Amino acid sequence: MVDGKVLAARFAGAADFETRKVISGGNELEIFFLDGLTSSGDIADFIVRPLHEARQEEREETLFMRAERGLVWCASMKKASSTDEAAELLVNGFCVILFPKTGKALGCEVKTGEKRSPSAPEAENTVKGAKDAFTETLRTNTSLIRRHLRTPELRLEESVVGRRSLTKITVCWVEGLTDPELPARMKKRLGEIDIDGLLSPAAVEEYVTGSRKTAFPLLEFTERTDHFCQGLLDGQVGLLVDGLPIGYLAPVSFGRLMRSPEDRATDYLSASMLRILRYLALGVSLLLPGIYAAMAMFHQQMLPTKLLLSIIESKQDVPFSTLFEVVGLLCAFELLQQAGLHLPQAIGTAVSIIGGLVVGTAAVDAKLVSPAALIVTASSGICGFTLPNRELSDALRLWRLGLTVLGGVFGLFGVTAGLLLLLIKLAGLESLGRSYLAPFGEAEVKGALVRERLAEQKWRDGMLRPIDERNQR
Amino acid sequence: MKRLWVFFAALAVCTIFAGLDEGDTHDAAALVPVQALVIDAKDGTVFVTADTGDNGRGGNLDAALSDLQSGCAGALFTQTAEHVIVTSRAWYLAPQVCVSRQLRPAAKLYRAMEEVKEPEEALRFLQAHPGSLTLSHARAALLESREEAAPVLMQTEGGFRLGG
Repeated sequence: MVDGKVLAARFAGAADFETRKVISGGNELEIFFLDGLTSSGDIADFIVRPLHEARQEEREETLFMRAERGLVWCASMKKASSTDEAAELLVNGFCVILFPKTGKALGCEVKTGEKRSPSAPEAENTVKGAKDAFTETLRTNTSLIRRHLRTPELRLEESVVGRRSLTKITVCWVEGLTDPELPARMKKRLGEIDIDGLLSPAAVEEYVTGSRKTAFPLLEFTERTDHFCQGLLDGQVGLLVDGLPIGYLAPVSFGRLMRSPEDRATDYLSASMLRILRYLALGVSLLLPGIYAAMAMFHQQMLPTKLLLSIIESKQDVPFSTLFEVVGLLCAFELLQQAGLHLPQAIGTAVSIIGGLVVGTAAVDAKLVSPAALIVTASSGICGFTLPNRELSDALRLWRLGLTVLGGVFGLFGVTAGLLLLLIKLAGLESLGRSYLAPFGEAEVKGALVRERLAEQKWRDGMLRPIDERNQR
Repeated sequence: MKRLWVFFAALAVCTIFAGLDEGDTHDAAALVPVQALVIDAKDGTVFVTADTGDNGRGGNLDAALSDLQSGCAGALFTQTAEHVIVTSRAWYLAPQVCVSRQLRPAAKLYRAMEEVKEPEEALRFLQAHPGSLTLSHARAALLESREEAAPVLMQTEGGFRLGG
């Protein structure tokens, strides 16, 4: 039973809570809605007017049935059997019509059209790919997915997470293709979340992945709908969160994170070359500062003579040790990035230029840092930006700093030990029950490093164990 | 987390037993690079002169090199030496020079007929006209008991000449 007074009390003090009484069929009905979430015009035209025009006197019970079956014009209608359900409908953009004598209520969907339209992705540039990125509205996102994957087997199962935020989450998979264990695991994890609000991406990622103590991403996120749908077709399970303009895909592996959606937009030769380059860039980004610190402090005899002479000359009059230089420059690099991130775009660009060029050049001229260390740090940073996944790049930045310190303190022994530790850490990670280093563990290096021609990719990724392993005949 | 602690404990043990903490490492900035070394001998004493102007002496090659390093302001780095000139008087030290761990195997070996008084000048000449015999080749020849003639560095009025 729905009680109007209790419902109004739930929203007491809310400036956007509106009520309206309407006489329909001789009965006084009450309409509730939240201004801003609903369209007042639609309420007036499709709810109030039809009710008001029903002048013939009738029992409220009959009026309720007629309203449910067409008197009120709305595409989506839900019955609320309790005040809590009515409140939930209100916050989801429904207008609630209360029939006070019977204690029944009907919720009519009259959501406002004011929402952000799909636009081009901001973080994942694409030249040839689709430019309809996810938005903050869940229903818009599901419609975008449906446009790419028109199969009726696409499952979009919705649930609500967050006691106060009541955030809607949709789990997406393709029935008959995705390993059923994956959506089951995902739904189980979502069911175990008991928090006040699921509003930030970090909250989603940490809770869904089981809050593992690692910086490495265990969920892949994307703004691009085509990439999301490709993941579903590969056998991954997707996650959409109302309020976040991104889609998540799981399980994820190191090899998948190193692939760019743009690999499928070019020919296989270019894509393969770029992938190999990406792996080399990964190595340079991770190891170059550490190896430089180790070589300059411990193993100078391993450097070619001319290079060593050049480094020695460049370090003349620099008062700091190589380790201090490199760690300081790595920290300065991070600070510049953070400054550029949090400032408005116009200022951020200027700060990046000033910090990078002017301060860097001035520091070298003032002999505070050596050009060699600056080049090493800058090269390492730039190589880090070539990685397609930002979170993977962020995680590797942490390890880069650690390896640099190990290299500066223990030499190449320290770098090797640090690298082994990293491998041990990665090998122990799992994403939704699948090994993080899956493609390399099973020696499927060819598919990870080199992109095969699409005509030859007849089988889906074995790591995902899809039901339907063949993706083309 | 437990595995992490086990790993660090193993790392610490390996570090101790490997004796890595010898304390004789230097930052590249502190290195004084040597590009040419002249090795001479007289009356049983070995003399080593670097192109940086530093010199050392000792009863044998290793002692002379140690004296050279200890006498230098900074950490003298002989691994950058590209040219090693051994005078005729000290040619008996050539086998020791070939196997010395303080010299880079790719360094070029020369035989000087006379005392080389200006290693910097010799270096300039040899940078423009390098020889072909490296310490590693000379070492290989020693091991195979075959003769390998070293280029001969001669001083002339105008400078140097490389023969042989």
